[in-house]
Amino acid sequence: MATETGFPSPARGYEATKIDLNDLLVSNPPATFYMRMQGRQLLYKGIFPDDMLVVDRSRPPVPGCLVVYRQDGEFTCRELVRDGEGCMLADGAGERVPVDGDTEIFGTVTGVVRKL
Amino acid sequence: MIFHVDANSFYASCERLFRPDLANKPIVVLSNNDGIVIALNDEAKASGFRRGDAYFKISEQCDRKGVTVFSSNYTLYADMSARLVTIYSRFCPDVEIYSIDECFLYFPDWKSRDWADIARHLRATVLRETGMPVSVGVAPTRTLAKLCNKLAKKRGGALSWTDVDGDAELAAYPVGDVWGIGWSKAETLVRYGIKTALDLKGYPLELAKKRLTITGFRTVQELNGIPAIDRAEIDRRQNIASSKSFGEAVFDLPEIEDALAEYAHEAVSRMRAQKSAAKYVSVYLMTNPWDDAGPQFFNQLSAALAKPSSFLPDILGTALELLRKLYRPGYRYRKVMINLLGLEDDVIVQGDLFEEPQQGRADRKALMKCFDEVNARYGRSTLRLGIESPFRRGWKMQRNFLSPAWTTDVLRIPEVH
Repeated sequence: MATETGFPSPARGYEATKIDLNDLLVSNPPATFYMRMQGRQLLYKGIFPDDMLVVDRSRPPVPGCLVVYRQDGEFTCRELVRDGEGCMLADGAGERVPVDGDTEIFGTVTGVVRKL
Repeated sequence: MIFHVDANSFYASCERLFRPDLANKPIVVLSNNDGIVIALNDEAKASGFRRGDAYFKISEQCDRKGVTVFSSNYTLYADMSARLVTIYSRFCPDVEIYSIDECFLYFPDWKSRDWADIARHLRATVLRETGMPVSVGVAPTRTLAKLCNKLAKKRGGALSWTDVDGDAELAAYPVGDVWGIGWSKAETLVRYGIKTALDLKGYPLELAKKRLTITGFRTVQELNGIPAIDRAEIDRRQNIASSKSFGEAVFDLPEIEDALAEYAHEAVSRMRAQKSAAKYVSVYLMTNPWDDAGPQFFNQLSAALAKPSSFLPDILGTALELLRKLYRPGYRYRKVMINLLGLEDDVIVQGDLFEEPQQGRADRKALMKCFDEVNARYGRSTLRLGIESPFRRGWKMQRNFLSPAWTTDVLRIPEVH
């Protein structure tokens, strides 16, 4: 530990830092994975092909979230919507898949990264 | 209390996580150079495959049974392993990384805690956050925690020694499966009438002291719930070997020298990490016993160093000298190995008449420290000795079934549809 002598620096507490986007996008690093969006099904949500999705496995999926799950052997991203007592996975075109015990959810999308 | 946490079929679980098309399908992972099966999931076990199967013997069967084969992807495994450790550290500040897929967590002895509940919570958290199934054994000693973990695998994945009838469990547990015993020691023990872990637990300590090694003696104490295995000690290896098979047969001395230089570098780094110095260096050179294309060659040479050393040029110089003595032209070489033996604490050793003064040793230590630090920060091959050529790569590893670095390379992240 450094010992202090003389007057404290006037810049104390104002040490320069850099903006780190991880602070903004990642709240739980060991549970966070990145994925690349391929399809156009989420255009209605403002997500474009080639966008990078930040997927947090520790964020519980609730209606209104975008979730990544396994469908037909592929990672698929859809919006989780309420449907009566249960939930559905929906895309912008009106296609809906019911969520049941076999649905294997990978994680919840918590951010989108796009380079212009 | 000590938690032993073990990731189940870790390499196979890592590979499966990023391949949604492989749900409920058999997976095997091969060792370095695609030699043998080192990990497989339950589906592959059910199809009759086993750890240690040579790939060249089972490759056709894999095709026929629809088994997906992977080369070892250590970049991926190391990243997933670091994620697990990060989560363990949230539960307990004192985490000891025992291997890439095993950790010990040391909890303070709070009174009347529901240890099994903490273990189940840990297991559920790791599974949810990383997708990795782990099992947890909780006990007052490392040996019992490991044993408890083996039982846990068949009982929901989490088990505390405080919740079981300890002696009944030990009575049903073969002594050879106890940590640190192994089958050769087990044979000796059976001659003394010790067949189960309970027999070993009940073995009188004074007899254990006389008839068993110090490790065996400590195992008896550990089975009695007395922590006896020192953490620092158990992590120190008695010898350090480094070798890999060449991707294809190698004929020329310079190529073998390059490979040996890299393995010597790796072995010395590992030895320095545990603060040891070696007294002996052995070099092994061999052909492939399954290759019928030419004559066979298996040989090794060892040398004693003038004094224990952890200085790479000392060790590499000796190793290269040995290799040049070993080498005979005309063979299809398949493997070179270096083994550092007679390890002892790396302290400044008493100099002899013909040795350079102590000042030189301190400088060498400083040089090696700098060498290690640069390589730790900028990657293992940033600084290398002149002999270690990055250009001649005829002996590079075979990794024909390597998966992408899904979690660490932005260009290889998984696709979503």
